[in-house]
Amino acid sequence: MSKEKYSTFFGSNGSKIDQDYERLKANITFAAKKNKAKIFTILSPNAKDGKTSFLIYTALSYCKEQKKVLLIDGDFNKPALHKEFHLSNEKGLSNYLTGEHSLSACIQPTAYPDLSVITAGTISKHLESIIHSRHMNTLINTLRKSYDYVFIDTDALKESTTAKLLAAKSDSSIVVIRKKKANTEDLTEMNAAFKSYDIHLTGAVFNTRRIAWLKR
Amino acid sequence: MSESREIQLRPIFNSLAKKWWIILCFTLIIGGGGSYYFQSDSSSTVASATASVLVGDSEEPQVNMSTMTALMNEAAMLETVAEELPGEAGISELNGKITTEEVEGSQIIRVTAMDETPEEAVVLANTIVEVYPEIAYEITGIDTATVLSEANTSNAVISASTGSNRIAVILMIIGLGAGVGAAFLLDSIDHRIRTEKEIEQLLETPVLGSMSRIDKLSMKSAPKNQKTKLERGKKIV
Repeated sequence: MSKEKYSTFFGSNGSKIDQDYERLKANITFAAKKNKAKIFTILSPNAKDGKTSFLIYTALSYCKEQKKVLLIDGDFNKPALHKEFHLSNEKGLSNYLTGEHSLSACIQPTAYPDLSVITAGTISKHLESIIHSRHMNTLINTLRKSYDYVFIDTDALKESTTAKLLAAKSDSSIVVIRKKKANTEDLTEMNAAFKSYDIHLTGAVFNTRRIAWLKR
Repeated sequence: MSESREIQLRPIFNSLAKKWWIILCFTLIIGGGGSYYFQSDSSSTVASATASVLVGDSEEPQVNMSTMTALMNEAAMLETVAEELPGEAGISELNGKITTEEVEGSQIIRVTAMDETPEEAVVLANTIVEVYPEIAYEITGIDTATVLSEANTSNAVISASTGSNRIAVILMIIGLGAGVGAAFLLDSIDHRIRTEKEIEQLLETPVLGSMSRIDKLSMKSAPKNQKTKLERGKKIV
């Protein structure tokens, strides 16, 4: 069902969402050029703020203009990206970082020609030290050469340090804030974390979409 | 001067506007519910009918108009009236429904009966004036009292009972005040992010854009708009 949504979005032109993402894309592209950034981490204070869908729609909207995009699932607690694209999660980022698999084995193609995905992988413990490993640095350097844009999904910033580490490793980050859910304390806390981890921030995305009552 | 004033008032009105539904709820619940509660005690409208009695001169005994007027509300009088009336009515209840007045400087006594419906008021007023001459004769020995005019439904006056109306207005105002108070309270507790401006201030970063709801409507490609644009262009050319 979700796959269907993405393909209609990919095929649509001039719809309301399309316009939203065109505007977002323009802003991101501009900021990316200015800061020479290619690898973006998507952050949000809480879970279910709409990170994953923002990530996928932005990627698809870049794919529309034949940009090569890679999505990485950095949410090791609740990996979701592979579900959205109906991929397997056996070989993923965590497996690559521990040296189990090579990078080329981890990158999975999708139904969209210019979009590739690295899923979260099977390991979900002691990831802080793994992210600090040299594998992460080589990963980022290789990806920078072969892709136009890389977006990394993370788990809720409040509860995880991996999200902060990934953000610090990447070029820049984008914060997704859900309207009427995040509060002022969340934001001030985030701002402090950005400063202490030296995370570069491109900007924020305001998710005005309401969550369905049942999913709350 | 004007600048400082703006800073003080803007957030106040903003927070009120954000919580408009709380103010509305409080006003409706306290105002509407309260006035409904008070109105269920007393009927919402009151009908009144007026009839009058003329007490003619008589040699023996002397007519004292004050006595004659006071007689209207006496228990002896009201008992007879209660017997005559179709429904069961207590004396004190009847007493509350009747107002008698002596028309100044004349020998006319005016009886105003108030009841829920005009018909009931008319019946009550007429029963009183019909019974009055007999009772007056029995008690005072004056036989000159005659019915001057009877009440009828056409000149019965229906008026909204002013008391409960005022209560409703007062309760509405209380509700409005409580609503405004609650709105301020909730707004000071509520720290959730609502505007892009708040994000920009707190994160010190620009807002790149906003995502709208993903549904059929927003997913729809927009050939319709393009078409109408073209048609317009054609027409102008």
